[in-house]
Amino acid sequence: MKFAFHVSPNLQSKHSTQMIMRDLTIGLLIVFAASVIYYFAAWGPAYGMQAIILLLCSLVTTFVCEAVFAKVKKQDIKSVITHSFGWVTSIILVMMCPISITPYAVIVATFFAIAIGRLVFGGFGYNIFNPAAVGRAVIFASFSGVTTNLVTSATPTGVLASTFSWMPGTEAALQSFLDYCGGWGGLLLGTYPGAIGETFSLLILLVGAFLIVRNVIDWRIPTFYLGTIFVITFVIAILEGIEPYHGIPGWLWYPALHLLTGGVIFGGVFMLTDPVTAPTVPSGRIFFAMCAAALTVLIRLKGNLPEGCLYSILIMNTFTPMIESALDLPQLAQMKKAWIMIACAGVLSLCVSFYAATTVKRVNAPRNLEKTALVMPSAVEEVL
Amino acid sequence: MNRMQNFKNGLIKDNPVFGLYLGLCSTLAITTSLNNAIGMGVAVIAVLILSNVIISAIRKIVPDDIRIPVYIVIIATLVKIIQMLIQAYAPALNSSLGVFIPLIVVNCIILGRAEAFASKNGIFDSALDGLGMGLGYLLAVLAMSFIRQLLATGALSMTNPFDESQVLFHLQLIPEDFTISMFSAPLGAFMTFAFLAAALSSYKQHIQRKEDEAAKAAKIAAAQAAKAAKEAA
Repeated sequence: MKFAFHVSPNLQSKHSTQMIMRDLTIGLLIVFAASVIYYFAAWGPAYGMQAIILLLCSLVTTFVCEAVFAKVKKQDIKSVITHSFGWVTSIILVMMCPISITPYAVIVATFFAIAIGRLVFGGFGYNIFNPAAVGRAVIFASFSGVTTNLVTSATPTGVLASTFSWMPGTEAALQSFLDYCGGWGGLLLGTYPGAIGETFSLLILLVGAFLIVRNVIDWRIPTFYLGTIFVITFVIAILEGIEPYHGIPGWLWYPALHLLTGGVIFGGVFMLTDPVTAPTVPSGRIFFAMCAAALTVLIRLKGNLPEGCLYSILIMNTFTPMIESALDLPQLAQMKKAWIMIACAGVLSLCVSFYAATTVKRVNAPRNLEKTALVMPSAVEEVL
Repeated sequence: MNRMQNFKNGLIKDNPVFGLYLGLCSTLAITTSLNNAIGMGVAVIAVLILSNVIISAIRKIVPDDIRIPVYIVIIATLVKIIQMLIQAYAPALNSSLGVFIPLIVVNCIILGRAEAFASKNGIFDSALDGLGMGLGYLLAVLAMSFIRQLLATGALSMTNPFDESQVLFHLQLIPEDFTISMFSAPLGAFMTFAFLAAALSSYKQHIQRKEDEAAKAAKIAAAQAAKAAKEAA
């Protein structure tokens, strides 16, 4: 008679880690391929090739790091590489970088993401922080000024942060911003200089929905993350009295602006849902996502930084073990405690909106924004 | 022999910074360039040797109850002297080290060695211990500033601390486009420190394991020898 030994719970699941990671990889590659096609079609071959070169650099660095580490620890190199899923980290990392970044910056960031974000903690499954977010933070700390000559203009989030302090209050101000990044359609399709993965917000949502159906990612995290951002910015728009834009009331377009810029959709779908760094308790995940949303808006409006999403993910990752231990209770007690925690997160989010709305001044005057790099043909000629 | 061992312990095995985790505040803050590191290291060595010698000399007349205030007064006096000397003869070093020179007073290495070693040992031993520990500190800050300066600016450079216009050497090893500016920030300091401390810890473990194995082998050999002797008898 043969006994099967499993770690409890002993319910057999069809979802092995390999399958989950395979689906996630396919989803990421679809979004990445769409971005590459977009860059090839709209900006020219130099841009498309740049995206592919960045991905290759990142992948090679990942494999080299893991191979060296396995060699030092005297493990089987092949099994370490296939069981640590480093390529998922590299793909996410490259998709968070702007196309203008140098391959060297990507290599260094990947090294930090894999070797320091993951391997020194004990490898896949033991990392505290989302490794891709660690890599992106390294780029922010070290290479924010270093770019190639491919794209030279500021990203929409950078413009929003620096000239509008995330609060364009009137129709004219919004119009000048939308002219800069190609209107609402441009924001939705990502036809603006930004991270590679931000390109198709719509496609990311579709892939996310597909991954949710395949049970690869938890629907709670993206839903509550994006939902909370919507609610917070909705309250802010009402409190600030943001003016309507061509008939669209301010409380509708202002949240939409927050959701469509700065990779919150990408972060909510692919990064907050990382099974290693997010809590395992479903109710804890809701709390986790709501707090991350409150932090995102707070960092955007009060810190006046373009990358609220990234830092909120890193900060909330540190709280994951605390959320886990707080909810490590019998079922009924856990539900009760979870409700209290989620209510607290809701109150916190409202506090954030009141605080931001009362202290941030809205910008009413339209700004004259230079559209240098968006004149695509000349930019491409310069490169070639 | 024992003295030599004491001296060597301070350098590597009980390195004050990476082995005992003492005096981290100044270590993390000033290790942005080799100049700072050497200036700070030399100041700490001077204070450490002098304070160890003085405290060792008066160890029998200081009442046990008030020894800490006495030590602090001695250390603070020495630090003030060193600070005034640096201000007078190396003003550039003084401005780049800033508040961290007076803060040597509260550097745990100095009070720690006074308490743990100088108050129990003779003058010569204490001076030697101070030199060993001070050199250990200098080695640690040099290692950290070597890594941080190289990665953050791509160059290794040193100027004469008494005359800043006189450049001793300047080697641009990494082109400026390829530097990682993060390492000049506190983030880089913590990371460098963590990796060096981890490296020392793994080296110590390695030595410990080797010693354990040798002891085990010796024990087995002794047991076998005893058995053989018994059988022969």
